[in-house]
Amino acid sequence: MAQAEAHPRFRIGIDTGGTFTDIVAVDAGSGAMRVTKVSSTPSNPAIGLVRGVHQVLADMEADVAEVAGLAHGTTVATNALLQGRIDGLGLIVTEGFRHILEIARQAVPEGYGNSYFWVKPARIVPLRYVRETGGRLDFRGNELRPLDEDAVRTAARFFRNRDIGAIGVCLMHSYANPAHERRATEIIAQEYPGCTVSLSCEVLPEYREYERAVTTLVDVFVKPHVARYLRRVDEALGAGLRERPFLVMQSSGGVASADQVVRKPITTALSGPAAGAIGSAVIARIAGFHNVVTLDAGGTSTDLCLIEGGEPHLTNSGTVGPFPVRIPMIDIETIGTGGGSIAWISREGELKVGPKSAGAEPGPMCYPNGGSEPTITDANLVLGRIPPSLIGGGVPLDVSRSRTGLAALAVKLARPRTPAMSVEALAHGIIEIANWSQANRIRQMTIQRGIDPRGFALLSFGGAGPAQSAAVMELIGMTACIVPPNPGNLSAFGLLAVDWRTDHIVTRVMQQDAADPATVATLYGRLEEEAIDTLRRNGIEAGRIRLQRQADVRYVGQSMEVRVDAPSGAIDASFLDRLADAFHAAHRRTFGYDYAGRQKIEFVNMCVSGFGLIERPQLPKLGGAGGAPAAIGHRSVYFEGAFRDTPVYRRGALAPAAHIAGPAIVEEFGSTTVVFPGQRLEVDPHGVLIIRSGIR
Amino acid sequence: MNVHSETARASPWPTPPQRAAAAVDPIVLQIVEGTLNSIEAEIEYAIERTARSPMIREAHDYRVGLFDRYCRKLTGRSYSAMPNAVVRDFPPETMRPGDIFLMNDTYLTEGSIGHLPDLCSTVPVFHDGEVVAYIQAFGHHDDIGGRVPGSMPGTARSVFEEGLAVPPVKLYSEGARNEAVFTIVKRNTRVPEMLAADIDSEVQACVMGARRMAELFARFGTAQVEACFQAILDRCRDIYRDELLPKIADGEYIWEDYVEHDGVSAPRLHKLALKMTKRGGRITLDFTGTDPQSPGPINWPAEFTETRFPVLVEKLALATDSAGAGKRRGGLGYDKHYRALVDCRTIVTADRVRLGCYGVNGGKAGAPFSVAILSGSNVRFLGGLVDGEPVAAGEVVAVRTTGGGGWGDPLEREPELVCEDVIEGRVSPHAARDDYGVVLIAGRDADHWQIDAAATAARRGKMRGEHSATGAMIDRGPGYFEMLKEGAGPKGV
Repeated sequence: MAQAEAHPRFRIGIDTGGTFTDIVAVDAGSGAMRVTKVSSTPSNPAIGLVRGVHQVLADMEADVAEVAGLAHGTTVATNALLQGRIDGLGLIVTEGFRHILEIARQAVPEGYGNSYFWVKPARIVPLRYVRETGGRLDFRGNELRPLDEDAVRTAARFFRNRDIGAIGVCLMHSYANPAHERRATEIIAQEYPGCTVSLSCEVLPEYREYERAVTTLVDVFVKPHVARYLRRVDEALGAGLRERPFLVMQSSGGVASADQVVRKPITTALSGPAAGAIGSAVIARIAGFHNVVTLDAGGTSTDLCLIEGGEPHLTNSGTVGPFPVRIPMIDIETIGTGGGSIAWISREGELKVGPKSAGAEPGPMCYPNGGSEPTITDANLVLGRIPPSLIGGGVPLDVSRSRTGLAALAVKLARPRTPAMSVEALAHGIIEIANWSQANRIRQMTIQRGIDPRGFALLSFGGAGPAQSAAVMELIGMTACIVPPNPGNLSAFGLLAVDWRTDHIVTRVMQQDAADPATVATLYGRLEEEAIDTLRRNGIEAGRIRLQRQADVRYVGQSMEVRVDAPSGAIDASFLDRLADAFHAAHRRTFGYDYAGRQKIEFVNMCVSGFGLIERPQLPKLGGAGGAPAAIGHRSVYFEGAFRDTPVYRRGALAPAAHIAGPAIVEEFGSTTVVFPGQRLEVDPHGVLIIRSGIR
Repeated sequence: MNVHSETARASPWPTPPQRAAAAVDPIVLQIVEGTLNSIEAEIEYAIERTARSPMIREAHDYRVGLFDRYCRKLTGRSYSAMPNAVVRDFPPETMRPGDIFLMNDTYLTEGSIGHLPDLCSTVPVFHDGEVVAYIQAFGHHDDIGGRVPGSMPGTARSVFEEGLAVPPVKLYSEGARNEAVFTIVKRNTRVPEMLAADIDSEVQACVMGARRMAELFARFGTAQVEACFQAILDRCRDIYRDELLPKIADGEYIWEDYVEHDGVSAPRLHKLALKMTKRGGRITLDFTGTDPQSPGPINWPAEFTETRFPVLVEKLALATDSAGAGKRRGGLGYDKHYRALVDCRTIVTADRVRLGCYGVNGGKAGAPFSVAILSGSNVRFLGGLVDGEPVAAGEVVAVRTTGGGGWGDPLEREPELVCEDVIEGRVSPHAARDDYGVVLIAGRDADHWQIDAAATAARRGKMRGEHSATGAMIDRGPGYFEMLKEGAGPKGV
C-alpha cells in the first residue's frame, strides 16, 4: 500500500543478538505493534538488520516512506571486546607512569583473602607499546612542566612503524586541563595520519588514572569496529531508509545518533542488554510492578538486572569482560547458564550443569544438526515443558535424541549406592539444579545491592526464560513472575521506549565549607551547555530537552564516592546544603548509616545527563472477555515425579483478566511459559502474564 | 592448625560418623553445595555493605565460615575461624534458638583467632529443635583497645598490650542482647560507634545465613543434607589423599625463616621453624604459629594522592631488577617517588630491609626493601624502622618495595623470556647477562633487542662451571650473610 501521501508513522526497533535479529515496529498513530525475527548475520550484522527491517515492513504491507525512525541495539562493541583478540593498541602516558596498567590499583580485587587465588589478567596493552612523555599538570590543571612534544612525536612514529593503529592518550590530571592531551593528538595526526586516537580527557574526564586509561583504551579499541559497522549499516539501508533518523542504544539506557556514538563508541559496550532492561522497566510499570529483578535467559547465558522504583539500576563502576569501564551503564550481571548449558559428569563423578554451552551451534541435541551432549533445552523437551518445535513450528525438535543423550548421562552418573535414574528424573534434576543456581545468583546480586529479593517480582524474558522462571520465583519467595508480551522481542521493544541521552562529567575536589557556589555554578553551567549542544545537534527541540544534575560526594577520608541527584535551579549556598543532605540520605540508604553533622563532606565529580524525550509507544489493551480461556490442546508434562495431563494455551488467545490454574503451558512465537502445579496465572489488561504462587 | 595431642580428657566435640546415614542424591548434592557457596557469598556481601571499618569495607579483611554440627568447615573459599571453642564452652544441647556467641581471645579459641582485632560471631543453626550447623563471621576491626590505635602494637611484649580479649561468651541469649558484653566491648575501643556497627553487621549477616541454612534442612531433611555434607568432605579428603599426598615422599622436612626485628630489641635474625613429618598416609606438622600478615595500608592512585596530600607523585613504577632471578622469575617490587611540596616528615615501618624474599631451588632472592631521600644529587638511605625523618620541600622520597624470590636456576630460563623482560624493562640488559647468562644485542630502538645465541651458550657454559651447583635449596640474598658476619644471627648459632 505504498501511496504517494504515505507519511512516516512507523518506528522500528532492531535488536541484534548472536543467533537472531529481533524486530519490532510500532505504528505511532494506532499503537499497533508488529514483531518478527530473522537470522543474525554475524560476519556482517548490517545484512540481518536491513533484512529484518524490510521483512517487518513487508509483514505490515508498509513502504519505506512510512518509516519515521530506526533504533538499534548492537553487540558489535561487546563482541569485539569479548570475542576478538585485543591487539594493535598503543598507550601514551606521563613520564614515570609507564607501568600504569601493570600496577592498576595496587591491590588484588576483593582484597587480601583473594590473593591466594587471583591470577593477574593479561593487560590490554603490552608494556612494550606503552610510551612515556614529559610534561606535567597538577590536580588543579596548572602546568608544572610543558608537554615534551618531541617525545610524543617519537612515540607516534614508533607506533606508525609497528602498525599500531589505535592509540590511547592518558596524561596525569588531564581531566582538569585537556591542553596537553589535545596538543598530543595534533602531533599524532601529523606524524601518523589515519590512526585512531582516543583522549582520556574526552572519554572520561574524571580522576583516577588507571580507570581513565583503561576506559580510554577500550574506547579506542572498539572505535574502528563500531565505525566500520555503522558505515556498513548506512550502505545497506540504502536510499529511502538512510535518510531516516538512525539511533543507537547506549549502555546507559539512552539512545544517541550514530554520529555521536562513533565519537565515543565505548558508550555502546552494553547496548543490547540495556535495551532489554529498558523494555522490562516499561512493561513492569504498565503491569503495576515497580520493584523487579529482570531475567533474560538466552542460549549461553542469562542477564540479571534490578529495577527499583520503576527505573533500572545504573552503575558507574561496571566492567565489560575483564575491563573496568567507568561510564554510566545499566547495572547488569551475567551468569553462565542458558538454554544451551550442557549437563555433564565431573572428574569426581558428579552431575554438573554449565557453564559449558552448546550455544546456537551446534545447539542442544534435539536441534537439527544439534550437539552430542544433553542441555537444559533437551531436559525441558523430554519433560514436555516446551513444544516439539520452535519458532512457531518452524524448527522441529528431535525428542528421541534428547532421551538418548540423557539416558547415557544417567548410566554414567550411577553408583553402587545410587542406581541409574530414569530419563525424566534426571531431566527434572538438571532443571532443578539450574533453577537453584539462578535463584542463588539472584539472591547474591540483590543482597550485594542492599535489597531483599522477597519484596521484588521476577520479570522473565528471552527465549529460554519463561519455561523455568515461575519455579525460580517460588524458590526465592518473590512476589510474582511476570512474562511480558513477545518475551523473545522485549529488547527490540525497549529500543522504542528510550529517550536520547548524553552524559557529561568533570572532577573538582572541594570540601563543603571551602566550596564556592559561583564556581560550582560555572562548572554545572558548562556541563549543561555541553549536554544541550549535543542534543540540539541531533535535532532535539528545546521543549523536549530535560537535564539532570548529579554529583559524586564522599565523607572526607573515604576513598569511594556515592553518586547522588543534585537539586535543579539556582546554585547558591542552599544548593550545596541540599546536595549535602541528599548525600547523607543516599549514604544511609546504601550503607545503613550516615555521619550527618559529624563529618565533613567533599564534592568530587559534577555530572549532567541530558535527555531528549521521545513519544513512548503505548502497549494496546487487549480486547475480549476474561474468565477461563479454552485450551488449544493437552499434553503430558512432567512435574515433581510424574507426568500430568496439562492444558496448552495459545498466548494470542488469552483475554484480559483470564485466570488459569497450574499446571499449564502457554505457547507463543519464540517462547513458552510454564505455570507450575499450585500456581495461578492471571492476564493483565495489556496481555502481560502474571504468575503467583498459590500457597501464599 | 592444631597440634595433635593425646590426652585422656574426653573431647568436648561430638564425633562425626564414619559414613553418612543416607545415600546421597546426586541432584540434591549439587543444590546443597551450590547453596552453601551462595550462602557464604550472601553473608559476605551483606557484611561488606553494612560494616563500618575501612579494614572490612575496603581492605576486605573479613571471613565467613559454614560448619556442620561436628565443627567441620563446609566451604573452601578461604581460611576462617572455627566454632570449636564455642562448642567446648557451650555444649550444643544447651544452646537455644536466638543464641549468638562472640569471641576474639587468641589463647582460648582453639587456635582459631590470630590477633585480638578479629572479633568473631557464631550463630548456631537449628532444625527440629537441635543444632545442625554453625555460621560464623570474623572481621578485622579497626580498634579493640590496647596500647596503640589499631590494636596492633609492633613492639608488644604481651597480648594484653593488644587490647581487650573476649573468651567465648553469649552476645545474645534466645534473641535478647547481653548488654553487659556490649557495654564492656564498647568501653574498650577507641571507635565505639564503629565497632558496635561492625558487630551488628556481622551478627545480622550470620543470622540471615543461618535462616538460609535452616531452609535447606527443612526442604531436603536432615539425613539428606548431612549426606551431602559428608559427600563434600569425602571428596575433599579423596582429592587430598589421591592427588596431593602421593606427590610428597615419606620423610622429615624442616623449614626456617627469619624476621629482622621484633620491634623491641636491636635488629637480629629471629627464627621461625616448622617441621613436617610424612609417614604412610599421614602428615604431622610441628608448627610455630606466626601472625597472619597485616593487609597493609590501602593504596591510592597517584591522582587521588595528589588531591589529598601535598606531594607530587613523580614515579609509580615497577622496579627494574628488583625480582629474584630464576627459571621462573620473582615478581617485581614497586619504585615510587614522592616529591614533597611542603616541609614534612616520613615514617617507615618495613621488614626485609636486609633479607630479600628468598629464592628457591636455585632461584635467587629478590631485592630487599629500601627507602631513600633524594635531594638534588644527594641520596640519604633510611632504615626499616624510621619515626619521623624530616623531608624538605622539593626533596623526593624514593621507596623500593621488596621483589619476590625466583624459582629454579636462572641459567635455565628461556632466553626469549629474558629478552622480553629486557624489552619491557623488568630486567636490565646488564642483569640479563650477569644473572641469567643471556647476551643481547641492542637494536636501533628500545624494543629491538635480539638474542646472541652463540654468546649466550658460551656465557651460560662458563657460569655453570663457576657456580658448580652449591645445591642450596634456599637463597636468602647477601644481607643474610652480612647479618651473620655482624653477629646478628639467630640465637644459638
